[in-house]
Amino acid sequence: MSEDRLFDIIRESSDAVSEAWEARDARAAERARIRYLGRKGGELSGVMRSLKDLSADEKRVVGSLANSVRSYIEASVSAIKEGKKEAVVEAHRALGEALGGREKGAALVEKLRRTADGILAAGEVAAASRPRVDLTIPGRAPLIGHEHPLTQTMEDLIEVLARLGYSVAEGPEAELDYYNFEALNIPKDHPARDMQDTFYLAGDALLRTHTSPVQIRVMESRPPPVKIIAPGKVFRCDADVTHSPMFHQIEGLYVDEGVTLADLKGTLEAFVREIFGPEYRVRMRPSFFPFTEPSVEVDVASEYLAGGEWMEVLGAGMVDPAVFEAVGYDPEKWSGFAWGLGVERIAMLRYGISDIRLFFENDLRMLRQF
Amino acid sequence: MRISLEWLADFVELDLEDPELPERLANGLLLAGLEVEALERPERACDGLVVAEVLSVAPHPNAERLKVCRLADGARERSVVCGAPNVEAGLRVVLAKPGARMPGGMEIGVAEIRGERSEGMICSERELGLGAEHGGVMALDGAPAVGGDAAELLGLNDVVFDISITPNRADCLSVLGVAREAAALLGAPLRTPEIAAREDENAPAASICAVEIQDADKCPRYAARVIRGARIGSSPGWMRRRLRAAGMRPINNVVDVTNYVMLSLGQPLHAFDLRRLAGRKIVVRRWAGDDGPFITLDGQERGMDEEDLMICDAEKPVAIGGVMGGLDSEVSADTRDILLESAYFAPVAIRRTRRRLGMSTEASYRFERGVDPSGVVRAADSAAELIRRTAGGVIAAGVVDAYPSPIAPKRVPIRVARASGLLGVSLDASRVRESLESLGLSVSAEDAGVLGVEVPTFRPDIEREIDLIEEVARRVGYESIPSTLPAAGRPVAGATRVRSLELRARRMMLAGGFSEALNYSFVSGDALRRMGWRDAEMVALRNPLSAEMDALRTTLLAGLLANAARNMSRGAREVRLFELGRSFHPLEGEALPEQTLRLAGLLAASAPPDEDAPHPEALFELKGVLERFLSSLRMRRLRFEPADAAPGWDSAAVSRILADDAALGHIGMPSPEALSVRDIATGAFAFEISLDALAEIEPASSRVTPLPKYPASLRDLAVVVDAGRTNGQVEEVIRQAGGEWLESVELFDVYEDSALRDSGEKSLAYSLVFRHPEATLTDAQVGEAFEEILGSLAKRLGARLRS
Repeated sequence: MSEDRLFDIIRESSDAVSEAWEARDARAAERARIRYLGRKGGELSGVMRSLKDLSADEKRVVGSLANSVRSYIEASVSAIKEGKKEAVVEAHRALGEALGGREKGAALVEKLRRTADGILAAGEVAAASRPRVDLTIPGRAPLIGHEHPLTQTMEDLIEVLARLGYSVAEGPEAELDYYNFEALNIPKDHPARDMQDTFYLAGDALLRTHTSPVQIRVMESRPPPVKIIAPGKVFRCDADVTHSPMFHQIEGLYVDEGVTLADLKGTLEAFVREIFGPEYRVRMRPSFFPFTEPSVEVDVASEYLAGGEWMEVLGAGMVDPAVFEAVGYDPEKWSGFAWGLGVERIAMLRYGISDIRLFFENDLRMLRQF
Repeated sequence: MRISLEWLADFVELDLEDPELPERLANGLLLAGLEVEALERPERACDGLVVAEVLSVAPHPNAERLKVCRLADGARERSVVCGAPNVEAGLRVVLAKPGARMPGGMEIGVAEIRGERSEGMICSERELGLGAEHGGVMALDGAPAVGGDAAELLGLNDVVFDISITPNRADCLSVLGVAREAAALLGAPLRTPEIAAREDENAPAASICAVEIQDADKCPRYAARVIRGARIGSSPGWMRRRLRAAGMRPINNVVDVTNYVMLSLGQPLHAFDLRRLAGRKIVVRRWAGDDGPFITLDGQERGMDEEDLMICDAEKPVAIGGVMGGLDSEVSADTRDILLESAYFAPVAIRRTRRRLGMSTEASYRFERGVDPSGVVRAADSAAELIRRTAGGVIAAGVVDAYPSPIAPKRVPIRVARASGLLGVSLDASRVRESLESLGLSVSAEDAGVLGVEVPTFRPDIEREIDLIEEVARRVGYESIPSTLPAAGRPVAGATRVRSLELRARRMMLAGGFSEALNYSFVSGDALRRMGWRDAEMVALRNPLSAEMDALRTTLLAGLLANAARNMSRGAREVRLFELGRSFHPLEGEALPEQTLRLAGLLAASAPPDEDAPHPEALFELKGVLERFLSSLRMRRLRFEPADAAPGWDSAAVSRILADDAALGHIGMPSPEALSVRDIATGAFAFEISLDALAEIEPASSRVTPLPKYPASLRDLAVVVDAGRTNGQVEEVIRQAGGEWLESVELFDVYEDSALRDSGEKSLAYSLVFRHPEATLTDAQVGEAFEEILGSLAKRLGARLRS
């Protein structure tokens, strides 16, 4: 019979409510609410649904009691969540009154009264009596690997450059003399070849000494405009604390109509500030590379770096007309700029690493820091 | 290039009293493209050093080796105790008065030496920081005024700039060249000290010696001067000081003069002992096969070839042109007559020879970059006069100057609009003209925005309009160029498939717990050989740094194994690493090797306690990470097939990885040989695949499978098969026999007990999922499919249901 079921619900729910109140446990209160009032499996909701099978009189009697029970549970649960003792007591008294006229309800009225009195008498429970979760215990994360600091740096640089409209191009590490030197305006008997100590392979093959041959391969393969970056490994016979026989460069090339040295300056300033930070100052000064003219070195400085000293970070320049001629671009129509930077150098500045060899030892104690 | 400020002041007017001048000049040169790498200056200026004259020298009454000297310092007479053997009356010396501060910072006071009062110190060269000579006091030549400031006389407070000169700026390999830049920077006039040779008109050089150029391509100009009756000795102190400041060691007065003039004007010179030149003749020609061995003045025998340019006398080579003189003809202590060479050699010829010989000298360094062909005679004149002044002798009249086809200054036009357009800064004709003229270029004509520029022969680097535009940019100053940012525009090309594969591979490996390694592209060829690679499969470096890096890697495993060994020797219990990089493989008939982008993963672990190898499950953990990567790419028909022996792999534990029938690489255990190369005692598991091969494979459709509407029926199946059967075989039969409603097959157990082992069998257990897309399958339908599977397994693999 529906009314009996309601009495059972009152009995059980008032126990759950008073336990939740004693423990000041809002979660337990919410669990009780879901158990009785939950839209899908709630026990009181089940009783409500069964009302449709009753006669009109029964429907009225049982329906009004069911509504009182719902109000009781809702009021007491929200009172527990807010920690309002008087409201919890009041909810019990209200349900007791609603039960008042029912003969079978006397025992329940008495139970509700005692519960309300008990709550009033109990006084304040110290909040600290509930054990706190110790959040100083270290967290546990699933095992994942660590990215190499050079890759991380390189990908960050690529991302900045992608925003400036550059797309990635690649070329071979084992390269022909023609692409590495000749087409870049570095003939066989030119002293500029001494600037880059080269590893030679069989015949005309060598390990590229810079990423600049990618410029040539790209320009040979498509007409202007060109806006690319070429990240990759490069090789020079040189090894000490600041020189590694293999290191990484990123080369940038922009060729279009009317590209100027001022554009190069603006681009490099934007690039450097994106990478290092807006407080960095950028300086261009004349230099020499056979494949650019005018050629510049770019220095950066900030009070955060080496006490404000200028640090050389990249080499750049306007593409030399001889390079355009080598790839069949008309130097009177097209102009452009190119630059190259050493990724290790940027990573060393960024992470405070002073020995370049650390990058290639792949010591997990180092890699785990990234 | 080391340049002394005081020397620079010979060529350009500088206010040496200005304490900020060195910094300002260094910064200006840097911004003009002459990178001043170091500015050397005394930490504290020395003072209290005066020129004094020794009036008398008397023995010290109480010490046998000491002397008591009386000196005049210009203000008063002083007594100084001195132990130098060479001190004698009449010498002009440097006296450090009481209170003087020496170049090293030491202060001099009044002392009592064995009962005799000593008011200061007579200085040796070493005490003045001028050299190692400590044999006696430094005697000042040229009778400088008594009482004068010795520090100034000797340039003790001089500043030295160490400048890195780019290969294009041959003209700046001299004090004169740097002075030209400094003059342009400071707006001060350039002054060239003309040192005219005082000649003996009665003895024309042409009557004493002859010069013949046989190869005018390699040697366009050769000039000789003759000095007779010189006496070899040491050069004057000021010259030695300047040479040392420039980083050169003084040798004797004649050699020092040739070096001094080279540093000063940029023209390398060579002095021959005239009496050792057969026929008193210079012949400039190529090496002849029958010339015999040649010994350079450093005592080395040099192997020459017929392309090398030699300076010869009437009979034999006496110098390697532009590189180094010969031992037999060099100036020695008893040389009296000198033939002084001042020549212009073709840069390419000098470079070829000096590279072939593997040597570089101050002379060859300048010749291969290009000296000024018009400066040849002036340098010869200066040097002859300086030799006369420092070594005595008589200069024969005239220069024997062989210059068959004189090199004319180039004429290069520059368009003002082009310069503005390329630099992105607005320039007018007068600005361009001023910029170029300040560098010593002459602007000869101007027509409709085009300037005709005559480029002096000391600037061989300027040949084209762009070279002039760069000069204009340097003079305008890069700090004055505005900054403009071109529009980002639309990227011209998207990322390639290989690059996106690379990025995805990195993400998946990191997520699988593997850290990224980066190794050199070169490895030890010997290590590869020990792993089983043949020489013909490797690309060798012609000039490796060491045997550890003498071949390009054929596999990324070589590096990863070395990394694992290193980490484990430092206490790591487990190493999980991956690398993305290229491997290199010779291609028959191609100039370049094949360069394949690969992904390799390595899991190395110490054995658990009481066991001698790590758990083989680790291999499947590694494989799981690889499979997850490949399935994320929607690779079709991924298969792992037993492989034949592959270099570096254990033939009993390696599979080929195939997708869509294309070979991607291998997975398994590195071979014991591969492990022993790096002394890895414990086990390791690895895979290596080609991303280039992967990029060629068309992925499966990316369409989502609709979520099932009907429930699945699950069945577990445990079968016993011969131990030699693989899961792959069993799974294939199950799939083929299971019918169209068999949705998935998953191995969940591999079991062997002693009974099974005894009968040479093992048990494999699978969970099978059946599902019909349009209906709920009945038990009977599933049972039928299950029976079909069992029957097929029994028939094809001899499998039986495990009881």
